[in-house]
This record gives sequence, C-alpha cells and structure tokens, in this order.
Amino acid sequence: MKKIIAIVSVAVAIGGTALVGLSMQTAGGKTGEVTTGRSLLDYPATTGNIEPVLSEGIPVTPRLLEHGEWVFRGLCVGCHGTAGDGNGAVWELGDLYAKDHKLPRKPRDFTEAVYKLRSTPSGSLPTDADLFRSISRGLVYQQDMPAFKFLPERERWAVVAYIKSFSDRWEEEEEWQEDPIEVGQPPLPNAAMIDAGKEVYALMQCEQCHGPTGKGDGPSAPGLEDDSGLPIVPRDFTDASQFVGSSDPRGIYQTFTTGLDGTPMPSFADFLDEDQRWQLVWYVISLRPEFDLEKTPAEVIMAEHAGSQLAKMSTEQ
Amino acid sequence: MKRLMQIAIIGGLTVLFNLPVQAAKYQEMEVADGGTIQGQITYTGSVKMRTVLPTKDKDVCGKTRKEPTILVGDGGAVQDAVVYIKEVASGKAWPEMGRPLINNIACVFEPRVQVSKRGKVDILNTDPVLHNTHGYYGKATAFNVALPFKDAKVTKILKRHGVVRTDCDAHGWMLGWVVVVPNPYFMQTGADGQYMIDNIPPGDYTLVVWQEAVGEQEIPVSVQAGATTDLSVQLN
Repeated sequence: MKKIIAIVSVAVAIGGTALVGLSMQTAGGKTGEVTTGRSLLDYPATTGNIEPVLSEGIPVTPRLLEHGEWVFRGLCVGCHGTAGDGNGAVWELGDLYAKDHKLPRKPRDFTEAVYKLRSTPSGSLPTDADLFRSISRGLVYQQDMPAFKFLPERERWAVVAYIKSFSDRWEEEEEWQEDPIEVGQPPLPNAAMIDAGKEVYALMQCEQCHGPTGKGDGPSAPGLEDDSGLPIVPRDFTDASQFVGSSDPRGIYQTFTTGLDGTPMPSFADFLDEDQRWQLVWYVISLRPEFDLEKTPAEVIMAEHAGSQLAKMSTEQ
Repeated sequence: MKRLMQIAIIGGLTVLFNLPVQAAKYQEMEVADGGTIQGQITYTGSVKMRTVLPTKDKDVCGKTRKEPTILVGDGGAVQDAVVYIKEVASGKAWPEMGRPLINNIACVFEPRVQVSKRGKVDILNTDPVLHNTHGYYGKATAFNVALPFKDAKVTKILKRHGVVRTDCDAHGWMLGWVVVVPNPYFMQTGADGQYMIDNIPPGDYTLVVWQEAVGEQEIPVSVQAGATTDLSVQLN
C-alpha cells in the first residue's frame, strides 16, 4: 500500500515538474496551461447525473489519464478490450454465463473514434460532454451498453479523457472541428403541427427506411449494415423503447439532425428549418400507440415525453 | 533509490507520450532542381466484374448490369489509378484544384474516382429520389448525409488524408472514391495509364499506387536532382 502511494505521489510530482510551461489539451478541447497541484478529490464526486456538473470537464493531466485507465481496466475492457478497439472478451466469446447471449452490436471501437450520439454534425467528433452523457446514460436498445451514472463524476471525466487517447483524430482534426448544433426547447404539440410533420416525413423520404407507418419496414430497410458489417434495422417509431439515443423530443431532434455516425442513419441537418424539425419530432412521437392528443392535454404529453435527462439539458450552455 | 529511478523514467515517458502529436503538415516552398517520376500503370490479370443490382427506384437507377472493377485499356493501361508520394514534408505549391463534387446521378457517383486535398467537398443529388452519401475511411464513417430530393446539396469536410469510399445506404450497390492526398505530388491516370509527377525535391520516397479493386501498393523510389526516374507499375 505504501508502495502504491509512493508511486502515485512520485508520478504526480514528476508529472507536475515536467509539465511546467507545457501547453496541453484540456478535456474541453481547448489548449491551456495544465492545472497542477489540484487533486482529483477536489473535483465533484456527484453520482446519478447524466448532465455533467462540470460542463467543461476536468483538465487532462497524466494523472487524470492514469486514473481513467484504471477505471477503464476495471469496468470497460470486458466489452471494449484493453486496446479500446471493441474486441473485448464479451464481444469475442459472448457472455460466459449466458452462452446464447451475444452482444447485438460490436462495442464501440475507440481507435476509430466514430460515435453515434453527438451534438456535432455528421463526420465530426463528439464533444466531451456528449461522451460523458453516453457513458452516464448508456445505450440500451440493441447496444447493451449499461449506464455508468453510478460512477462519481470525476471518474467519468477520467474515462472520457482516457478513451479519447485511443485515437489521434482528436488532435488531427482540431482545425476542422465543427460546432455543436444547439437543441432548443420543444414547442407544445398540436394537431396542425403533427399534420405538418407528416409532410416533412414524406419530403425527407423517411419512409424509404422507416416505412410509411414508421414500423421500420421501408423499401431500403433490407440489407442495411453498420460500420462493422453487422445487419442493422431502422428504428420502429411505434416503440419508444427502441430509440438508441433519447426517445424524448430533444433526443429525436438531435438524432435526425446530426445522424447516427457508424450506422446508415444520415444527417438531415441541411434541409429543415427549426419549425419543420419540431413538426417532424412530434409526428414521429405521434406514431406511438399511446399518443393521443384528443384524450391527453398537450402539457401532459409534453411532461411525459420530456422526462428524460437530455430534455432537461439547459439551452444556455 | 533504484526503484525510484525506474518510476521516474516511467513517469517521464508517460508525460512525453501524452503530448499532443502534431500531424506533419505539408509546407509549400520553392523547389530548386527538382526531379520527376513518370511511368505507366498496367494490369494484365483477369478483370473481375461487379454486379450492379438495383433493388428499388429502377426507373431512375436502371437495370441489373455488370461493370469492371478495374478499367483496363490498350496494353493493359489502367485508368483511374491514383499515384502519389507519401511523406513529402515540403515542396511545390498545390495546383488550383477547386472544391471536389460528388454527384449522385442515375444512382451512380460521378465521378467514380477523384483526388482531393483536405478540406470541403460538395455532395449533390441530381436524381428525384432519396440518396444518402455515406463516406468511410476504411470501415469507419467519415460522414453520412441525407439528400432527400433532386438538387439537394450538402457540403462536408474531408478531415484526414486517406482513401474515402462512398456508398449509399438507400441504394446499397452505389460505390465511389475520393483519394485525399497529403501533398501536391499526385496524379490520377487517364485512359493511357500514364502518370508524371514533377518538381520533386531530391530524396528517397515511397510511391503509392492506389486502384479501387487492387488497393494500395507502395514502391520505394529515389529521386535525383534534375533527373527523370522511369517507374512503371504492374498491378496484380
């Protein structure tokens, strides 16, 4: 135990000395002096939150990366592998305790740094807060990525920093990085909005994959594959539990606007104005059998569908 | 103390490894007495055919047909191979290239093969059907944009060097290529299979020949000041 403490303190001391005057990347993607002399214990240990307390993350130091590696080795390598390439034992062998259970999707390959859930345009790297949210919420439907919101916030930021270290895209593409697309607050749904959304659905040709009634059975649906070459089916909009991102209005807005990179779902960012986007959002939600605008007041529907954490995201950040 | 030293070295290395790696950026400069590499790209093997099998939008996309995966002309000359030099740190200025355009027309990417530098690319739909142009570096998505109607146009950014394959998830048989080159020492072959790359600072380089069905082949090459090196490449 003594030895471990000695190693840690020496590593921190050396890291601190060596870093004086060095300019390094922070978790927020900005370049600046590394804050030294601050213990990880000084950062929030909040649990259960999906939206981070520290919106800019924790400055990336060797100590943070080392800590991220320890957490990663403890919790993530089973699926994502020690090399971060998604070839962990659970992927390679299946779950040894349930032999018939294979993961439906390949775990994310951090060396490629292609991410489905992003606030940024298609082809862009996600923000650190996007990665934080995915780690916290998990990606459940057909992904089997559990929620890690039980981890103290500082551990989650350490993992964000560590998984970014698997790819040099973060440095190579810094000059091309595109800004996140802001998602505002959804308007209350009404019948006219949903009718207009049906037209947007037709104009955007959503039915080519998702089908005329949103069941995911359009003419382009057969034969679709994800980046790893595995078959993938378009989302069935009539089942709210199937959404990869958040199934609430703001989550749906983000998905069709930025696309789900690594899957056939493209970005429709260039063809819709703000009104049309919310019309499409409410039309897609209206396809759920439990949705009934005549029986349920719009305010109640909004409250029911805006219950997730993504919906609570502040627009001011 | 010995243990401490070991730890110190490991600690020091960790710091070094975590420094941002600056990707080597090409620098333009005056090239005095540069050399030239030229030759012909040929192929003599049997040409594999690819089946294009439209499963929907047949009035726009046409009928089932076969197309060669490698365009071979007289004497085995290969068209649409891309020849470029890897790792030239500095040298001649980039030519005027204009922004590349990927046009979706009759469910075919036009042009099928093109060369670009890092930067913006326009993507256009000329068909009255939904296309989505999905670019990949290797197997990893580079971008994926919907083009829901005729004349829909999107601008994306080719952020890294490398071969970008494009397909369309809505029409799974579509296939195109953009080779994003790291420096202006490149050429795409025409029907005669010939290439010539000039004004190269003397030195030892790796010449890369890419063709969509063959992939990349690397050939070491030495460039002498003011001299022309003949380097014809037979793909196999």
